[in-house]
Amino acid sequence: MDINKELNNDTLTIRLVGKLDTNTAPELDSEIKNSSGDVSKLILDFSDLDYISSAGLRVVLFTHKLMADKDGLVVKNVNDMIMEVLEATGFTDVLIIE
Amino acid sequence: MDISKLKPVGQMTIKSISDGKPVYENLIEMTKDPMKYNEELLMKIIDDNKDTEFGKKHNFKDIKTIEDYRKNVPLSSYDDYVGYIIRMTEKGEANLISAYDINHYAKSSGTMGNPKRIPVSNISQQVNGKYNIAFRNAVIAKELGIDWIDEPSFNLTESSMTTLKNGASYGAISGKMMLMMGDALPFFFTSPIEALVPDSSTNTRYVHSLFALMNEDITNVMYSFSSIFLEILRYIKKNWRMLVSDIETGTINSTIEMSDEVRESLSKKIQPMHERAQKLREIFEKHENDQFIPLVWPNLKIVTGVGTGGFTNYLNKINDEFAGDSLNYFLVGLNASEGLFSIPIELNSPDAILVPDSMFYEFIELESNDSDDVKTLDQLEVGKSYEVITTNLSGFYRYRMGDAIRVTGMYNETPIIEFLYRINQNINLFGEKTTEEMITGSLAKVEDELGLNIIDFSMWGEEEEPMRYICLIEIEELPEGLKLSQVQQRIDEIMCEVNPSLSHRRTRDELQQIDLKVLQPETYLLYKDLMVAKGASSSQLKPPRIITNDIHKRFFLVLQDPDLHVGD
Repeated sequence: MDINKELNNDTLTIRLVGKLDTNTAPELDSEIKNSSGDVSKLILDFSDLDYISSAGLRVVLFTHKLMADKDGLVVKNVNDMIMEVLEATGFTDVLIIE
Repeated sequence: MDISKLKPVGQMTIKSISDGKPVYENLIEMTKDPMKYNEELLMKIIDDNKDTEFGKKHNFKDIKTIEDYRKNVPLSSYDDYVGYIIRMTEKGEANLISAYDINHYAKSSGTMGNPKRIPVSNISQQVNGKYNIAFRNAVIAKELGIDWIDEPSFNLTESSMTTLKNGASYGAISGKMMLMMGDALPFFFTSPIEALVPDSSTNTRYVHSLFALMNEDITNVMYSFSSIFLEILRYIKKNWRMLVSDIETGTINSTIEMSDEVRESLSKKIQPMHERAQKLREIFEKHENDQFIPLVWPNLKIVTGVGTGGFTNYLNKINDEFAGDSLNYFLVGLNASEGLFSIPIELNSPDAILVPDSMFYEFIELESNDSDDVKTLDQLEVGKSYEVITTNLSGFYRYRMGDAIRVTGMYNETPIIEFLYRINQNINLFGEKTTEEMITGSLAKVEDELGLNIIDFSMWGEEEEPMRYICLIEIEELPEGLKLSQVQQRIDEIMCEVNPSLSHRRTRDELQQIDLKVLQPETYLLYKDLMVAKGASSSQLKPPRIITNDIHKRFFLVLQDPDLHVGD
């Protein structure tokens, strides 16, 4: 999985490319923890994300909690397959998805 | 031991042991004629509550016998109390179902449905404390002496409490009991308040683990369910390098999620511990995959929590993977929000006896077709299974708990019971009634036979064609050479052995072979994290082993491992 970051003022956009699974989730977890300190809003761009596993969803959930005291986490450009996962797991009730 | 030199935790525990001794002796005395004490309790409840709205409606003032009681008060369910409870909690009305003061409502645990508000009177809390704390301490002291009393416990209970409109607290009863310790909490437990009463953003697995590892002298562990202790031990095994490094430097790891306030507060509670860190590092480097508990905590001897029935498997894994035979277990009995039903009178025994002065008990035999054939505790037979009906100290009368128990023996004249399952939580497509206990036992056997390590499981009966059981498992890894089709076949065979009725349906082709599906790694951790994020209490969450709703089905089905399919 590739992780592409773009900082615009205090908004950090992280674009994920490939698979967010057990093997790659720790890398994203570490990246978010290291990069999110000074940002007020975090956007996870899923436009090139092909797959998300339970481990990946846990990172998304932790990120949501991490940003809860700030301007929050936004997940955007979710493809149909991943949206099905987010809906079935109840993440659509928790996350802001654009 | 010089009692005069005890630390505060030791002083309080020695007093508790002293308080618990007469409770123990009184319980043993009551076991000789439990029906006498149980009937006395019922008559006291009736008399005390005769002027409540419920008591007047059901003529409590005229009730003199159990037979009178049954004539005047029908069997009930939660729905019969909802109206009263709304008036109590939303409008602050009193004396509706109970004359006793009620300052707490327990939040029912574990499902995605609407949680219930179960009233817990102050008297019921006192009974709970009398048995679960003082009595427990007396039992431990009786068997193991008092060497353990002067050190804090590794407590994995977490309290998530809110306040209702009437001012009462609302949350798990275990959390309420813990909070009643007030300012004494830091003396009793290794975990700091930030983990015992966490906000939803705190990674409590890390905080519990860190502060427990810092303390070599821990003598006992407490948790609600054995699954939670196993989860923490696995977390330590996976993350010991980070934890030990943080102990060495006296810092809270910057990658661990928590609010700035919590981080700052926790940082003030730790100091660099070079020697402890070095010792832990040596232990884990050599014994990461061994039974490290006796090395990490050499004085840890006592564990308290639920570990029978469906939780036996977790207990076995704790012993096999982490503890060996170093631990003694106080296996708490049937202990519900509605009150304390049963308690063990010795360590390391799954046997728990009914407590005659905790609530009034009635039972309906599970195999009986006559729900009017209600029995009292003196009419129970060893080997038979029953539905439990309670009249408790908090305003529930002849309340159908929905729990099934089996009588496994007698202690003097008092039934020894084991919890079987929630009555509405079995798989029953054709009347075969496959219980959680049957599934747990079957999967444990499959694990032993095939060298598989099942992290957790869920199952349900698929009613659409082809009718079959769907079995979802999360596994550590598939042993080399083992095929999932073999696992599926053995689960099917063993479950048919365990439940002849299921075998009968399989033989007649009414049910197809069990359909095994493997879940992605961390699926059960995700389930728990998500539920906690939605407000559930971490220490009260049980894995949904028998799935009864479509929300759970969808959740788990979409998280199947794409690389592990039966037939591949």
